[in-house]
Amino acid sequence: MKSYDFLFWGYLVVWTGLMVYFVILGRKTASVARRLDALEAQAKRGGSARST
Amino acid sequence: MNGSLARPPGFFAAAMIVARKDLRIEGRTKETLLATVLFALVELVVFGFAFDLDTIRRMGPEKVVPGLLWLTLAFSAIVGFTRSFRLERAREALIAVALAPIDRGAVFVGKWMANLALLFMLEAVLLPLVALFFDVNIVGVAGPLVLVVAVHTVGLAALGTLFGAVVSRLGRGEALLATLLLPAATPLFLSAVHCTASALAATPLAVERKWLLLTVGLDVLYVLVAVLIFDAILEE
Amino acid sequence: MQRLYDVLRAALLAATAALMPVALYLIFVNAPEEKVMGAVQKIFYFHVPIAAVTFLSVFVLLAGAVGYLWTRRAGWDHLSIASAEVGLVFCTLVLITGPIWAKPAWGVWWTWEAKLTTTLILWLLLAGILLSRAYASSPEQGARVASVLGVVAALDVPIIYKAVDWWRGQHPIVFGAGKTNPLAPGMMSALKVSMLVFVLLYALLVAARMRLAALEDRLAALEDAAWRSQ
Repeated sequence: MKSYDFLFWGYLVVWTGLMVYFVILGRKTASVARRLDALEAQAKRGGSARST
Repeated sequence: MNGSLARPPGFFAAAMIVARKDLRIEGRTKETLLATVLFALVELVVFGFAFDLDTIRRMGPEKVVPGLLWLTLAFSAIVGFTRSFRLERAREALIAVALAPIDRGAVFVGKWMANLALLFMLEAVLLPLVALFFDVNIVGVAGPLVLVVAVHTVGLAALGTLFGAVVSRLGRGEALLATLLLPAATPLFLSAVHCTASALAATPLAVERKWLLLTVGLDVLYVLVAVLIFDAILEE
Repeated sequence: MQRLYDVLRAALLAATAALMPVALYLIFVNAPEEKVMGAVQKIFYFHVPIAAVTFLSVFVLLAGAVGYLWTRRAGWDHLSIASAEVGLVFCTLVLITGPIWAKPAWGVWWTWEAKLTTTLILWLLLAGILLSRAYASSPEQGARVASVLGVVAALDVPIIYKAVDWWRGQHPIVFGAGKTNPLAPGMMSALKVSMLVFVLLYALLVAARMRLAALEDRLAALEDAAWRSQ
């Protein structure tokens, strides 16, 4: 029936949209967190380790 | 320099100083005015191709001409607003202006007035041209038409000055000005087109009370908000 | 403090996860099918809450922008950018579900009626605000610019709605838009729960986005320090 078709698409759009955004956020957060951890570990090892 | 350290100028005096400075700079080169008028002319020609005179006559000029007029105005004004702040930017004069011991809000009012003056000059050229190219009679309805256009231009100038300032702080911000300004100016635009159509059709202005009051209210609101918020824009 | 945030976030997630099946049950099983439009009307249980959340996000954006301009504390700007982004996502969803509902209901995909048009303009404003952040030369400048724009946009939205509404009055639409039939009781509860779920979802996404913003800030500060200590 046509009406169920549309309903399905609508529901799918909403769900996909929100999930995509959620996943994007998650991946960005993970990457930032990773870089943050790396930097902090580096800083702990001593900034003097870096030469000019 | 044995200037007397008088109190810094009051709000409106300061605004006038800024306005006069901007207009004087403009008066010397006439760059902005020429650029905007030329652009408006080009737009009118393009519209002439896009909607030929026959089609307009058939549809009724009052249906097409108001929109056309305000479209042209909107885009030409955008050309003008960008330049208004680019002036300062190029010479880092904006810092000097910002450091001046005057209320930042007065800077906004000054620039707004200068932009308004330029827009009025643009319109003085544009309206007769539109009447000429698209075969509309503006002489009979000159009074109400001028009033309607003026009231809406005041708001457009305020919004444009505000957004122009914001965008000029961003690198390559000019591209953004139209995208930001036009959606925000929707109520003004709707009112402008509607009231202009009404004026051209020789409807008594009192009929459009609702829209005109809205526009005046918007004008006041936009100026107030801009004055309050201009501080944040001029920083750094 | 960090603990508290984590606990709150977990609670939010739990609440949303728990409520979602309830909402779905109410929408698809419990609520009666609408007489005229049939099943497709059920998209209304998504469309309306999503639209409501979109306008909620504008409010929150206004609060964040004013808060930042007033205090210049980064936290307010995080709220600002989070609400702008999440708001844009929800706004996009409104603009997609709207036509999906409009086609069977009114026979056209799009109509320039007040709510849809205002939502479209809001979308443009939000996109513009986020875009100008990208153009800024420093995060601090981006925050200031976005806050100014946010205040203006948020104040403008109700005015835009009113203006478009009046404008539409001049061009009567053939098909009636807006409120139609009163809601049957089963429908009301489905709508309420659905509304709650989407508000919680919004809060969850904003919290996540704010956390990302805070982390990015810290990363930038650390990278700056590391670069400078060379």
